[in-house]
Amino acid sequence: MRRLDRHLQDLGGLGYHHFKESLTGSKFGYRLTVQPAAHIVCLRIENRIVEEKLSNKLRQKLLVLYAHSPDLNSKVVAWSLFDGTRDEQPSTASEDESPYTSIVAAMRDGWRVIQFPQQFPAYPGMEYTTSFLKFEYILEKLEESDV
Amino acid sequence: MSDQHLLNTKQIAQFAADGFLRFDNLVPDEINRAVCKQMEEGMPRAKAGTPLTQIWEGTPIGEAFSMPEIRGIYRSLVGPEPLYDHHAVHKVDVGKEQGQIWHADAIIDTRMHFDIQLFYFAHDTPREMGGTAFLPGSHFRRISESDIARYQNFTGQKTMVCDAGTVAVAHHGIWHCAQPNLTDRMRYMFKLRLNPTVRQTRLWDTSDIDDPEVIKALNANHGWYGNEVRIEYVNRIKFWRFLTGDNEFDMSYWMSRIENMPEAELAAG
Repeated sequence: MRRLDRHLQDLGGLGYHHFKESLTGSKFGYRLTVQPAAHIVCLRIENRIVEEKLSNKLRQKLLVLYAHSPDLNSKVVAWSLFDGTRDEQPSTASEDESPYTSIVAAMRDGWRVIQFPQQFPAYPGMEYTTSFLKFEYILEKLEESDV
Repeated sequence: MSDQHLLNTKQIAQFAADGFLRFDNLVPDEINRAVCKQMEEGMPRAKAGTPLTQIWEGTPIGEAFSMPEIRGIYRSLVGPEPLYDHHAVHKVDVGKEQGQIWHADAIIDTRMHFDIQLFYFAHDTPREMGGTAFLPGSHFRRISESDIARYQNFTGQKTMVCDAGTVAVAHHGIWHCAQPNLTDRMRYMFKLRLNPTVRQTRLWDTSDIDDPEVIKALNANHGWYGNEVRIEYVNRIKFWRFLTGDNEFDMSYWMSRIENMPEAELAAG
């Protein structure tokens, strides 16, 4: 069981304890083994169980951070939070301080970067035109919620 | 302000950099109270393109916008006879907990010429009542209305927390949003858009145009630009050339460097 535990932990925060409890209780009628030959099969079963068991509980939080430059260590200059774990949502212009000083600081707190800004050269004639903030990183956390 | 209550160059430079100016406690309480009553009763719109001086005669809002101080503000930016574009009595309901999304009014506007919008707060507006949030320096950004609704917070954002009678004047491109009203009173804000009818060059009191504080104001970095601050300086330099008529104006050599394209050939020796 030790080896399977390690793989489950490698799933990285996807409701590990919740999932482990389901396995040990055999609630889904699967007989799981940790024999090396059966390991891949086990993981496939795990994936399906994770989907079936936890999709009713896990909710996505999106943190959108706008950095000074493409460097993920550069300071955050604008930010937004869209929270799928609760009904109330943050309001515009409600915070004077960013929740994180940089993208990397958010990563260190468990946020997973799911989208990088692509970089394009300026279109001819548009070199000095400004518009949207260029260095937008989208990060997520999955949290259990009854919402 | 001068005899005509014109703005000075330092104020115009701040307008060029920030995209808005605020004037606290400008309108007297008597007019404020009458305007509040008029806003509650409703104000029909005039026809777009009507000279401002031809509308609202004999009404409290007409009295407010006839004040020499307010005429001095719009005269300095869009000339003495601007056109009425539209107005709106903005209300934020009692207990409204969600702020409005960030937006700029109208659509993408590529002109160097500009309209102004006057934001008139006729009653006290403490933070729990709003007021309008502005993003300094956002006015040159080319976006269309709610294209920016994904953004929630910016370094350097400002909210209009003010006493009754406060007026802000903004470039048409400024990013802004109404803030929540957590009080038990309706929040009002009167907004008026004006179009220029004359070339917008040196309409203000230019007697301080060589004051070093002017360049200092034009050099403001609002923080949220990040790496694009130098591009914003280029936008400001171009705007300042338009406002002053000085097509060689520069600061920190940003434009002179990239405009240097010598054509004279080296004489044969």
